Amino acid sequence: MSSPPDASALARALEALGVACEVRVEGALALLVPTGSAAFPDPVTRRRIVEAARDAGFASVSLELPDGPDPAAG
Amino acid sequence: MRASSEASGERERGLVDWFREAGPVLLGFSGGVDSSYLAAVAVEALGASRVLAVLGVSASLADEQRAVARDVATRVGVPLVEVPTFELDDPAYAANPTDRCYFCKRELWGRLAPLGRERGMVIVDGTNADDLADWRPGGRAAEQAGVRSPLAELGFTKAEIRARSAARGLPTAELPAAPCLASRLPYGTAVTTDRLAMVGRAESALRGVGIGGDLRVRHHGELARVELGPEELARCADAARLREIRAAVRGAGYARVAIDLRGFRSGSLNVLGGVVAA
Repeated sequence: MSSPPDASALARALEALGVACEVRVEGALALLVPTGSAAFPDPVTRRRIVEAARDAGFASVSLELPDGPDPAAG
Repeated sequence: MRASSEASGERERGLVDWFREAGPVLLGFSGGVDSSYLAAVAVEALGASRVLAVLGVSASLADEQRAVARDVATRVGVPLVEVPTFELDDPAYAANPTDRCYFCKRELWGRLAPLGRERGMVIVDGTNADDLADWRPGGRAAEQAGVRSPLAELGFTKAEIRARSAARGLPTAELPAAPCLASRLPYGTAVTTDRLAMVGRAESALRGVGIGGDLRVRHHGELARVELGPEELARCADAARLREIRAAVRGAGYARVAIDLRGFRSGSLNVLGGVVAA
């Protein structure tokens, strides 16, 4: 039996990657809500985020596009 | 490469023989890669008057997919009949269990098989050899209805079907997979006409702003999780592009929009639902 997703572990990994996001958990889905405004993650960062999410037990990770003129994260 | 092409050609000749041996066929048709190729070979082997393509029509069929099916049938020269199906009226289907496809296909074949039998036709579908390894509970319903799957029986892989389709000049050779709209709802989320329409509107709106290639809008209540192909994902570096995506999806009725960072992958809700491994 696999352990439940660990949002704190993912949040720490994101911080280490310099990605400013709050992690919300929706089942096995990690939803990243930007807390800053920067560019959409580049391919290398995206891959690292996906790996970090998998390591933290999530099946999927998505970036929410919040209100405002510049829906981005980083 | 040549040996592979020769083997593929040999397999196609085997498919022609298969049809000639089977006789007239009723084909469960979607206008996708597999059933379109099957229709083209069936028409070649039997003549159009001995082949009937049948498209099941319900709220889970996207309008665009219905239009594609009509267009492909015309191009292939296969007679097409559209038959309404009512899987949403079946509580077992509407509850959206992990074997939802079984109840859908049971309804589909329950309506199509009698049409074939009364015409003395063998019932066939476009299941291929790769499909046999996937999670496809719909296959059980096909078996129960006595449906034959010549592509799978003869060992055609998806890649081979695309290659043979290209060699025939079929418009479906490079067509992305287009499963029904219900596949965008996580298992356990009830399938309703409104939800299917919402997903359909969102995907249409995204196509309308120029999203090409693979695309899925996964329905998570008020949140739409958008899966894009690699090229479109790369275009998200442009903040204006993200605004377009957000506006398009919100216009379809979703309050929140998210981009999946891994991008499109077939069956991602199977992973989220724990049906297959991540």
